[in-house]
Amino acid sequence: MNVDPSFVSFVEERSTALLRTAYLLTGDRGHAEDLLQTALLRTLRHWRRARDAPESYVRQVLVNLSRDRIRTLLRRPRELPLPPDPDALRSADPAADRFGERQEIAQVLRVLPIRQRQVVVLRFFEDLTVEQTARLLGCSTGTVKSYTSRGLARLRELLTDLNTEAHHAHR
Amino acid sequence: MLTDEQLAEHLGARLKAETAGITSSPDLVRTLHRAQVRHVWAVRAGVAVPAVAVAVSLVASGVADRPGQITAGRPAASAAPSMVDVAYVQANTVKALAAASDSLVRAKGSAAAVGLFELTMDRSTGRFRSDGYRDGRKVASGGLTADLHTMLLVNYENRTWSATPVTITPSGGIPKSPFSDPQEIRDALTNGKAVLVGNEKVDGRDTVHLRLSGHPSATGPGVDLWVDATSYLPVRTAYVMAKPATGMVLDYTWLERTDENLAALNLTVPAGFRRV
Repeated sequence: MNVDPSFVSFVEERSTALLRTAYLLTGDRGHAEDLLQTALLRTLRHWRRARDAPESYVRQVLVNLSRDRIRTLLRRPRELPLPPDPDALRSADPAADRFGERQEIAQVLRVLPIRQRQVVVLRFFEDLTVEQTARLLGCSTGTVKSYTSRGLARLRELLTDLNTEAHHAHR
Repeated sequence: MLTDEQLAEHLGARLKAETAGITSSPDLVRTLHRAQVRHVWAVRAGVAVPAVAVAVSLVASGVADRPGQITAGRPAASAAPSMVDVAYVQANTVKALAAASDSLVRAKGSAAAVGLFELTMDRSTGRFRSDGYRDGRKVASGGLTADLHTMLLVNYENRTWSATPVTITPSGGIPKSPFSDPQEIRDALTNGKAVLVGNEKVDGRDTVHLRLSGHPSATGPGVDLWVDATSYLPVRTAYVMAKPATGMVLDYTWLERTDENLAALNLTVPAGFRRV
């Protein structure tokens, strides 16, 4: 059994970019790799349908899978062991521990609800338009704008260094 | 206070910088290929696992042989001897399989692991269709489309179907089995690994019963093979596994490659089934 050469070329050229998107959607490198592999396999199995716009196809699958994964995680019983050190409680908010140092936005994104996170990644990392994002997420442009606004507001709160840095850059 | 546009622009730049060190594995294509091969075989297995692997390899066993003068259903020899030896059966069986290389073969079988199944294969193209049954009801069907590029799988229980692109050459990717290589059946029959059990009736037909054992690729104690006493085409195989519950019996019907018989390979998705 042979894999279509055009699919091989596509994976070789675009898998790194797609892995980065998967990482931002999940916040975890291992999960991102699993997600990408699953998405690419689904794409391979529907290559005839996907080959005209394979990147969009994979991106769509990634978005769906990342949402499903979050739902699965949410369905699990929330049982967390007590921290051995009371100070460890500070880690409940990943952004809080990073106050005063350069924060890693990819990790702070995890704090956002999945839809807000998807919108932020698609709009500002993938540089998709509001319309493209709405199509991908299967919602209205108004909803995308609303998620964008709320996501940015939350990030503005969490990413204090980004505010300062961006403020200097735009002065 | 930054505007949302300014903040977003900076956010995008920072996300790109933070992920610049992330690269995909150089082995990704190979990993995907391996996963896809596993998937294709799993799909086949979901319908009639052993039937595909074993029957395909069985019918493929004669493909590379020199075409003979025996066609399915016609006598391989002028008269079946009442007492034959292993070499005689070997010569005629290999010749019969070669001569039937453009015919269709239908295998019906049962196995403890998968229940009842039926497999029809076009030997000249490798196209096949298989159907699995449970409690007398068809539960799943699978098969290659006429262009050999897509495998359809229909699940009648879930009312779903899927289409998987594949590139399969006739007999390509078939797991090794005692019958996957014509040379192997010859070897098995000639080097003492086969014994002639005798003449027997299978469903009223005169057959010659052979027992093959000790083949390195065999997964169990051996394979019993019954060939038609006249045409020398296989009539039945019984795979005797190390664990009795995994044993399997396949009964073969050899069909002419007519339009009507080829139509049996077509798999139609019932209306209302959901694609998955």
